[in-house]
Amino acid sequence: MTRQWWVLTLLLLGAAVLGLGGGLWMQQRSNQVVDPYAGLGGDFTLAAGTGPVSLADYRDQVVMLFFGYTQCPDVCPTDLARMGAVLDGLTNEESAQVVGLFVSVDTERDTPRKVSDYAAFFHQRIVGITGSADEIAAVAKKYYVLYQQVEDDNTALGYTIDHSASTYLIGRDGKVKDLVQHSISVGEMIKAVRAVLAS
Amino acid sequence: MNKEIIFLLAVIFGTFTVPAWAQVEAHAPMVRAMPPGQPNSVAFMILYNHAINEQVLVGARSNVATAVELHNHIMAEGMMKMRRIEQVVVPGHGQVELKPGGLHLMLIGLNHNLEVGERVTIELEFADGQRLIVAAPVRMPEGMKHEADHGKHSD
Repeated sequence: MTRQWWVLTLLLLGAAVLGLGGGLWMQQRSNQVVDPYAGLGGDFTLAAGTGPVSLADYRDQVVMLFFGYTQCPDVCPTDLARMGAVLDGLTNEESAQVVGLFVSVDTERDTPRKVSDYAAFFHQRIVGITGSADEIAAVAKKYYVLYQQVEDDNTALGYTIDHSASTYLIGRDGKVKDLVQHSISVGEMIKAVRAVLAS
Repeated sequence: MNKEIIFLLAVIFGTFTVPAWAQVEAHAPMVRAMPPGQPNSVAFMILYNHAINEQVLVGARSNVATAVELHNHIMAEGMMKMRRIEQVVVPGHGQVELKPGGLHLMLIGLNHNLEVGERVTIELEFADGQRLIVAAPVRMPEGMKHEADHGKHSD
């Protein structure tokens, strides 16, 4: 191989390395700027059995936010039990910085007292809150929570409420950092909460 | 007696004994403990069908609730939807799981707060008239510790 060949090859390789490096550097910069949950969430104030509760009350803590209703027979108990298991699975130091928030969308049947008592059954660090139909609708809109009341004469339940069953993980700055699905395991959720604690 | 008559008698007697066998079994039944004051709870179990023909569960009753209904969950349009269903088919030599997030029995209108460890009796009714009595223990939802211990320890 001639010397010219070598020079050309080295130049090309050099350019490739520079190109790759530059591309990665640019991507890193853009990753830091794009936030997938930018338009989601925000502060709100609802009522617990003991009085008003705002998301801002938990600044500097990680909040696990879930929307449901107390007569929900399966999905809500499963999710709240998992929240409780996550709180118990963290170290004492960690769990002191994490709380659960359970918002009831069943404004017809659930009073703040009822929701608070219900949530406390699953773990003392889970706070149950609710509000008027309008207040709940406003919060649900911020978090893109879907829910609808379904009247059904076919069941002794009277009505059920369909609702999205994801849990929002909110960071110390009050912003949504992660969204976990209903099917997540306790172990995976502990990991996700730890990631938000660290961020 | 000739062989045909003996055979016929054997078939007739054989048919009478079949319903006495437990064709469907309920494994790992459980009822969830709920926060005090909650009017409803839920029961889960795995139904095993030992017969070759399918068994159709059409209803249930319990001593602890006013009504027991079959329900299912569907995830649609971004929401978990729970709907009452009229029946659950257990295929021949097959099984159906009633578990969290899926098929389950709703216990509606509890007549008392269920205690962890309590045995709830649920009677399942099948389309062919078969009945199966299930004794389901009350358990805390999965992953939870049982704080209010009345001197007993749950597993």
